[in-house]
Amino acid sequence: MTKYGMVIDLDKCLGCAACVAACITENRRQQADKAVEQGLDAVRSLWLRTWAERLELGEYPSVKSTIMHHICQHCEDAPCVHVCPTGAAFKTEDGVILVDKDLCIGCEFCVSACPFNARIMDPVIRSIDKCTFCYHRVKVGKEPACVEVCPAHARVFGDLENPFSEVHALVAEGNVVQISEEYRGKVYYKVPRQFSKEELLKLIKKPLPPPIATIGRDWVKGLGWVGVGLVTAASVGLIIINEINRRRREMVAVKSAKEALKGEEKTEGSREEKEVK
Amino acid sequence: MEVSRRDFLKTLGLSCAALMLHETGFSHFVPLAKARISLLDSAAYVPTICGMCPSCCSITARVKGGRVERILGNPNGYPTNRGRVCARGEMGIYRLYHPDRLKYPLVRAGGERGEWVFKKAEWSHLVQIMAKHLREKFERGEGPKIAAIGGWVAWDHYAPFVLATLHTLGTTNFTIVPMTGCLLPKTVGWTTSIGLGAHFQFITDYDNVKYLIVVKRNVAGSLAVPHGCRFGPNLGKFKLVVLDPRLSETAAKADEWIPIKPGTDLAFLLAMMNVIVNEGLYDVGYLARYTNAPMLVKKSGDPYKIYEDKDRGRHEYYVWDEALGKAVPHGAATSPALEGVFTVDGEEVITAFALFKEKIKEYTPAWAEEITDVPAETIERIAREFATTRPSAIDTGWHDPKHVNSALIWRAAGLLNALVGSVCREGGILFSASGVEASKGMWWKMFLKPESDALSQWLKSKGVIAYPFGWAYQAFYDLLTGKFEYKVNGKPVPGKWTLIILGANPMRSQMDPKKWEEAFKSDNVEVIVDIDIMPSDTTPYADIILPDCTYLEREDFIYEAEYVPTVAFMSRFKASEPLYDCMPFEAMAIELMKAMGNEYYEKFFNILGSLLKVDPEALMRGYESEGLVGLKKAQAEAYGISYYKLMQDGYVVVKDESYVREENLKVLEEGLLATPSGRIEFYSLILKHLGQDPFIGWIPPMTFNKADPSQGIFYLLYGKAPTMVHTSTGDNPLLQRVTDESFFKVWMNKSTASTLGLKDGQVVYLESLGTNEKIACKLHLTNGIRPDCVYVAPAFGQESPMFTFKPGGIPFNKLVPLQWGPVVGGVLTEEVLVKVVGL
Repeated sequence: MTKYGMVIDLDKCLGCAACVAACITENRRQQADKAVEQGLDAVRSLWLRTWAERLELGEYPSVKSTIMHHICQHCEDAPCVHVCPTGAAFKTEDGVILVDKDLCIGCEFCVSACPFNARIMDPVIRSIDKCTFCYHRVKVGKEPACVEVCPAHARVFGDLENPFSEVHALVAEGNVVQISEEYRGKVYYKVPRQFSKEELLKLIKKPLPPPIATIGRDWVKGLGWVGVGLVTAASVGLIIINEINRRRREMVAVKSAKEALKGEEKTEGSREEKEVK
Repeated sequence: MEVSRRDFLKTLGLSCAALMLHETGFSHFVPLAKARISLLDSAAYVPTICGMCPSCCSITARVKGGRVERILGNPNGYPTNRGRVCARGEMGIYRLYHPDRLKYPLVRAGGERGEWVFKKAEWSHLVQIMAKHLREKFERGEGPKIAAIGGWVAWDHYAPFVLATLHTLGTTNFTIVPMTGCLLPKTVGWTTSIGLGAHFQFITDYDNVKYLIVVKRNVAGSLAVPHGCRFGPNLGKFKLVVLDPRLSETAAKADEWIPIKPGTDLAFLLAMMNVIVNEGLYDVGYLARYTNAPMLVKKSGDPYKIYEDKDRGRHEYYVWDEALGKAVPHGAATSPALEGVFTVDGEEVITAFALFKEKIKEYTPAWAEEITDVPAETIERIAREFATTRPSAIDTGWHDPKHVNSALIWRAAGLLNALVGSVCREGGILFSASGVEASKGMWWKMFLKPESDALSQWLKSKGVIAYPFGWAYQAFYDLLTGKFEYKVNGKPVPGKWTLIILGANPMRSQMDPKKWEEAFKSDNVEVIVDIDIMPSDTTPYADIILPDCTYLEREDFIYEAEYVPTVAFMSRFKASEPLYDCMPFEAMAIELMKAMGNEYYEKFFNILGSLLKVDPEALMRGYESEGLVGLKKAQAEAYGISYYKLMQDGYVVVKDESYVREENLKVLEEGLLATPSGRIEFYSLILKHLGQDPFIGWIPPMTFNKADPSQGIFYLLYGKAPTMVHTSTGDNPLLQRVTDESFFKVWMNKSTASTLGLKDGQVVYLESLGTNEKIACKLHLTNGIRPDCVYVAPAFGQESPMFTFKPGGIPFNKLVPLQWGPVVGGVLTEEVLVKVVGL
């Protein structure tokens, strides 16, 4: 079963931002063009699917520096998928977290649920925008734009489950860390030579809210169906009871009416008898 | 993947339309249909060459619906940039579609130079006016007062056309900013050792090196992709030592970062030489065969015997052959002695190497420690590691006009590489294909300016040693203001200056803009023509502004691939029709020559033909029938390559890397380096000829030990942000977006800031002790910089009233006074101290 993932080799990354630029021109051209039209402020606040952050550790002269890559972690237990009320946020069979634009209602629950700032409500496309691992390219045998462009070959993409893939080998080698382990994220960071694993984690790993239970959306869904069932049962029950009560009242009414009529007949009969005499 | 019927019909229709247009001889339109059209996404993939930086990477533009969507690496251009591009390359799209671009020719409609008061003009009208002006100037004998300042674009993209134009007009008074402003000191330094040293002439063999020392360069951060795409993926395969006062992107990749005092790298390298020579760790065989280390020198200091070797076209000298027990020409010796004192013909002679050893005796690691702030044990250890972990190399460097000792640093780098036998060999320093040709052809001889040249005359008057390399833009201040009297054949040249600025931005990228303002506004300047794509900070000083086309709109001629050890041709093919009423410079030059008259037109093509190595008639015919495309076709035919293959692939390899590596070895074996002797020169015949010490010695930087952080006085450092290139990208909106915020601020060491009571992000005054300019800017605190240094990224500070996307940041060129180095005339951009004061 294919599971796409990425290894970002921080040992090789030069900090040139070619990956950041490639993602914009491949995936957010419309938004970029619009921002250019609107001017400097709009350009400066253009949202990015992936971005680089410079980090330093230590004091002069024993100081080292690396580049943290922020990107959707394509979690196997993605909190964004769990909270989405409509199913717009979903995971493909090969592990890529995508958004179905037609189902997205813009509630932004997923934006808050993601601890990696990997999603945004985009007014230009009127849907959530996020990293798709360039699924449109991957499906036709190409690499994600950020991977293809990197002059240092620092981003590596492929099938984590395939024992012959480069990503598999890099992960198996063991010199990698993750920031999304708790959610079974599929992005790994290879540790630069100058750092230990612990040092790198200290710099890049933030504490995460615990993952939602694995029943997840099904649980909510189940609850929903139970609710529907209860409402239906209640409705049906009420209808039946109403009907029973109605019939009963009707019967009572008919009975009373019959009795009332009988009473009148007796009274009227005696009158008739009186009138004939 | 399915192809829809609609896609198929669309493509068919497009192809037919394109073919039709071509057949009707619509000569300036190259049908995109003939480029590779992908049925997969019905986009056209047009091969071209990136124009965002001087590296000229081979790229492909993806065009759909007439719009350039993406820039990708060209897989066919693998030898140059291995299919990769950088952020600037990607955002070339936003140069093409930049809203502020110059949209039509402009002519001054009033106001003074410096004021944006222009009106729209017609090309044909302007061409006629300029032709008349230039022709009359030439005929009056004022040709030498036609001058030009180019940016790197003028060289990398347009050189043959620029040179042909200016030579036709009878002037050599031309320079490009990147000469004394960038590579010339480095180039001349390397040249005194190994015969060449311009960016495109050589490259470190990153694929094979085992121990690399990078000095005064940020190869990872400034990212010339032909270098970066080799350096990056190979990280981890070699030990990397980086000397830099700042923790640059390259220093961050290092196994050892050496925070050396600015401008003292020469002392470090001299001490390395001292250790390697004294401990005998050098490559004896290499020195004996490929260098003039064994050259016999008289007591007077002159070579014992030196004569013209007509076969090699070089100077041959004598060595002591230990096998024969006598002095013979080096080429005839079996076993040249590296050291020794000998008696030849009753005269006492000594080897150059023995003299060299004596010369560097005082440059011990302990001596260097005092100067560089690097512990002596570290210098010793690195010297030993460097000499014994082969192949090892001192990196080629790139830009270095920074200090008065810059040229010597690179001479030292050449000699250190020679000591470990790495010049022209695997894992060391390789000559590119053009480097090999340049070597054999003694390139710098053609590069020297004649006596009549104004720039070299000015350098000579300033006592600059290598003044015949007269490519100093600083000269223009004195020339344009009339402070320097320019003479040809002893007589002052009459008339005023006509200045052409081509893809240069002196007001923002050349040092001391106040002086440039004075020069441009001077009465001695009658016309300024500024050719650019954007309304830069310099354009308001022009009289005529001519809009060039961006590289994505141009059919440039055929170039040889540079920088890399492969013989190949590449070219630009239009990815977009020109969006505005702009004209590619090549066409401008030709139309101008045409308007000047037949005599000029023919002279122009004759010179162009000799520069491009194509029959002038063929070039002329080609241009007249199909414009620049026709010119290209004539080139292709002359070079024996298929034009159509080039148009499809964008890149044609003629001889691959293994061939050029072999050629490197041949140049070495056959003594065909571009030094006067044809060998690596420990004893520099060039320096000797210029009346200098032929070996090497220590010169401190001007700012040596003058910083005092406790008083807020610092060494000023600069270096590229990885997402920027010079000032030409500062206003690119999307490049701004992907640039780290810190690059718009001045960097300072955290603990220094703390002692000065300064806080991260606060506003400070940055005051230059050289120009007295005071600039308000924000502070960025970091541990990755020496306590006595501050750092600024130089691409920013744009002030043009016509720019929508002014990046802010710090105008670096305001901080550096107009200076010139003693050896080559470099701009001394780090020979300046700054004061930082909190607001």
